[in-house]
Amino acid sequence: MSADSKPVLKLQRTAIGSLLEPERVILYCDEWLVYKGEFWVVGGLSGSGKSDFLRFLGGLFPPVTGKYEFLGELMPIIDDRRLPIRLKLAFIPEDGGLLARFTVLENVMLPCRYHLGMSEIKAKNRAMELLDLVGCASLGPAFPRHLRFEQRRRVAIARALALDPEVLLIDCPLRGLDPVQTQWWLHLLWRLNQGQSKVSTSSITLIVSTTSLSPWGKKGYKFAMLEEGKFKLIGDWDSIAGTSDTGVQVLL
Amino acid sequence: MWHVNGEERVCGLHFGKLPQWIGRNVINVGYSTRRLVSFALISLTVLLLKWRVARAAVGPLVREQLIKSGVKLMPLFIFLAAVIGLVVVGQTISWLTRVGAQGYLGSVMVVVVIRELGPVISAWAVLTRVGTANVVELSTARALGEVEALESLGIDPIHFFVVPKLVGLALSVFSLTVYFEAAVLFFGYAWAFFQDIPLMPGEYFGQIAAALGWLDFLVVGLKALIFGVIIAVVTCYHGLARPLQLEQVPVVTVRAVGQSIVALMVVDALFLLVYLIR
Repeated sequence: MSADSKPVLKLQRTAIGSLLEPERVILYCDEWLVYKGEFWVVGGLSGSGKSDFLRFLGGLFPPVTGKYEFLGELMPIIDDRRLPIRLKLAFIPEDGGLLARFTVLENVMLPCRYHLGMSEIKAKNRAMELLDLVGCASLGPAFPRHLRFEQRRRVAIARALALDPEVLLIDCPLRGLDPVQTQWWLHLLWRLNQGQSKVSTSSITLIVSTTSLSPWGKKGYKFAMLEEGKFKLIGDWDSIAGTSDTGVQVLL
Repeated sequence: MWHVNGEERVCGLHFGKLPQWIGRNVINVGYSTRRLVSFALISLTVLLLKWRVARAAVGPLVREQLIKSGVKLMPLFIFLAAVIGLVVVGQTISWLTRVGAQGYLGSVMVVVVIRELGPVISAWAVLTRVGTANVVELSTARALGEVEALESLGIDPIHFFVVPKLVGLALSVFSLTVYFEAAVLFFGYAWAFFQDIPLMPGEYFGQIAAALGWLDFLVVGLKALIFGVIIAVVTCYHGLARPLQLEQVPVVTVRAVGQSIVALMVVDALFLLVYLIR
């Protein structure tokens, strides 16, 4: 990364709470800089605070102490003036977070209708394009309750891509998937990161959480982990292969 | 000071001393009122500031709410109007006629049906049919993480969830009140007619029209709109304001209905001051 490039995401001496108890510190991050185009994999065992960490990065609650900046702006962003910056960040919770009373198509159309004021036809076309990308074009009229778990997550990523985000946060995208689905997700995320997807030619910075680091080997990802209430930087796959850290080895 | 479900509450395990128990509950009512008023002010501010924002997405939700809390309740209100018309108006007309006090008919109808029963019964019916559904819908959405999902999409949950209900319920309670009152007066006369009461329609409706003043229109209109706002604010507050677990949905639903009823009756009583001051 060139010295003059600014990080898209920056944490400095940040104490982080949880969604249910935003004031109670569960994690501490000394410093973390994420640059444009990077692909970070944040590992951690169940209960290590991965979901809350990503919700925090998604701007759902403020840090207890310290600083969190996204594109140079202090997070969380709640004022309308800075909303365009906020919309460059998308977060996908583990279960997809689809709105139960809307159909799949309406869920994906929602960001376009709400933020861009698109007409129904335009929003529908955009949504179908995104659903096609994730292999769910035929699910448009279905309600989220009719979908399988992995389908809900596919629809969720289609919805998250609707506004062309620069940074995408995904909570445990591979959890509970069979090998075929796992490969599909790894391939899609890599193409999005490389700017090779059908819907976006610009590179998307990705941060994903995981309970197992092994599916993420080899491709140039960067790794970090959450352990004992602390955010730890690990480095690339070679660093993982050579480490004697038992916390990392458990996740392999 | 204790926190229950993230709310400030004064709790006591021993209720032996009545004054202390009363004091605790008075303080808790104060806390609840403060939170509800804050939520109402935030919601109304969002309504005013974002009136023209994201109409493509919020407009259909307002229409949907109007259908759900207005149009779909019209058959129920016809039934209620027929029953109230029989129970209250039919009997009142019958008794006033027997004692030769038909001259007071207009005043009695205006006070009983138009000023009081109309707005209160309309609000209660909307609360039970739509308000409870609102709390369940919103608290379930909250428990399932839909609110966080909306926030992560940069969508203000107050704007998306609360504003359509606020507008829809205020307009629905207003419209249903007018509809209900007209229907009650009609059914009241119909019941009197079937009892062979010697009262001509012109005389009946003429007396009511004569007893109605501009203040009645103003008060009834305002009351109905405010009742709709109260139902929306209290039910949305309990459904949305704090993170919830699924098992808390019945608890917040019961609490929302109880607080709505209290708030409706307090505001109804406050409107009496308008006539007393006058």
